[in-house]
Amino acid sequence: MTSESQGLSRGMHLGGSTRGEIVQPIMELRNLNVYYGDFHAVRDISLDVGANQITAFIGPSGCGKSTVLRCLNRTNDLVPSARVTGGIDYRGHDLYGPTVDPIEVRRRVGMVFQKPNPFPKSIFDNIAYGPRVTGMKLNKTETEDLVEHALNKAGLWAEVKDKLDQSGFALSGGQQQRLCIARAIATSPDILLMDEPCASLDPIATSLIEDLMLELVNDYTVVIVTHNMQQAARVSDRTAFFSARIDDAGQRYGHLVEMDQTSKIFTNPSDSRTEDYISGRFG
Amino acid sequence: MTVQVSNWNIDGKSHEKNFKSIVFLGVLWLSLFIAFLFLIILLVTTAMNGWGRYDLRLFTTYNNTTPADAGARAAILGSLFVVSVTALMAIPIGIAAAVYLEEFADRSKWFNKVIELNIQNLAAVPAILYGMLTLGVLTLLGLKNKNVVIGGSLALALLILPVVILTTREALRAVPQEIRDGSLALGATEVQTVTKQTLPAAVPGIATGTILAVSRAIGEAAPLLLLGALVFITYDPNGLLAGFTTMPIQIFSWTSAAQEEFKQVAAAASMLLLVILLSMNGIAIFIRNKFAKRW
Repeated sequence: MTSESQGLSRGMHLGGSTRGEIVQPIMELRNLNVYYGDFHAVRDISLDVGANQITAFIGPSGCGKSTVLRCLNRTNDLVPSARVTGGIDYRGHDLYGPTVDPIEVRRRVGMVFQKPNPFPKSIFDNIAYGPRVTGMKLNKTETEDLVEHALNKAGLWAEVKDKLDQSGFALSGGQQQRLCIARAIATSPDILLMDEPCASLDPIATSLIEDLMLELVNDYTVVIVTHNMQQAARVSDRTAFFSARIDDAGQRYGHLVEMDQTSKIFTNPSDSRTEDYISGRFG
Repeated sequence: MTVQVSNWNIDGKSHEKNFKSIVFLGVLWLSLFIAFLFLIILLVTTAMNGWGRYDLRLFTTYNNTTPADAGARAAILGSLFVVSVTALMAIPIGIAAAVYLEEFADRSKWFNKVIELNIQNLAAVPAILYGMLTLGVLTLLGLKNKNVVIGGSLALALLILPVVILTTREALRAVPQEIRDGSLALGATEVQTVTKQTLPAAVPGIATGTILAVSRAIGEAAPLLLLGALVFITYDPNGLLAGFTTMPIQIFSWTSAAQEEFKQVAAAASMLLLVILLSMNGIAIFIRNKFAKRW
């Protein structure tokens, strides 16, 4: 069995079952609009993210998929001119509601970035950092247990257990990215956001991360932005296709074309633009 | 079958060794040589002028009207004292200001732009102006005797503050944004991100810049002269309001003394000051190389 068909079994072969259907949404985006100053960058996004599913955002560059992803844990707020209208409902709370603390949101919705970004600290301290800053009061053994647990979850424990005091930079790119995933897991998040997590990795490291995502989704909800459509097809349950459009004023903006079960998006999309993109006719 | 190409001759006179290249390189070497020559002449003559005074008395005795008995004890201790107080004032304030400007200030606001521009300019202000400013402040405070440790330290702290701010900002800017993003995405606050990630990662750069700034304060005489520096002190500086002298001031007064033998003591003290400055710069370079991070 090739890795391709192995991976496809999740999104494609079982597409007819309930796998790609949302049983219970954990996040509901309602008419989400993102502005940078006067620039209306992303318009009217409405979609649901299913609990314990992998949701993939695909689309050409500049279609706003990373921007939307960064709204899901309010890291987009860190851009000074950024402004959001519309709502994101997360377990009954409006993420952008006036009483919501963005720091608390980020503690529940972890994030893994495109470029592995370990801290200039030891492997151990990289993992222990999140629990320490989020005020989890752990003693030495509890911290050690948590570090081992997180590294195990990220499939990295066997490779690093003898060098926990070495710098995170001493690891290879793929290991660094799994370290960043372990770091995010250590704070026990609800949702894991991944912004092109394999973009800077080789195929072997990529396949390890993909296997890891399929493991993680048993405990967490995963949202991934990817430029790699095979990756979206291999790992995701549902796929959202974003695209860019130019409005009457000549401004380019991102919008959602359609979202559906991954199997449907890749075999029988409702929108012809999706089909054009999937089949490589544009983008 | 090999193909014969007519223009395939790579033998010949090197293009690197033509006349123009040689002259160009020669001019570069000459410039370097001239710069070094003056430095070496200065070092050698000073070292020779001080010959005979490289003894323990230079460190242990106070200034004296007899050149043979004069030492730089008060000046050495005064320099150490004044510079320590300077560092205690300038480094925390400088780092805090740099952290604010680099990590928290909204750069689109006009007052932050004004502050930025002013700090750049302050770094280029002549040292004597800081002496005048301090003089004014001490007068306003009603201090009669202005040649006191705290006054000298204040002048030197104002002098190096812009340098500390600028080098700290450079060091903070060199920390990749990804590290801040990673920390914030884990739910760390901005303050935690600064204190636990950005600042520790910038420490080598901050240390290097700060040591260089402090070594500049050690060698500075102008602002202290303006405060009415004392040159004849026969006690150790013993408090923030005590009178003091520093090495550059002591050297300055000995060089302008009538008796020829004082010039010998001045040269010996100059060599000591040079050794101190060179070792501080050496430490700065060591820190920079040892902890230089590749991200």
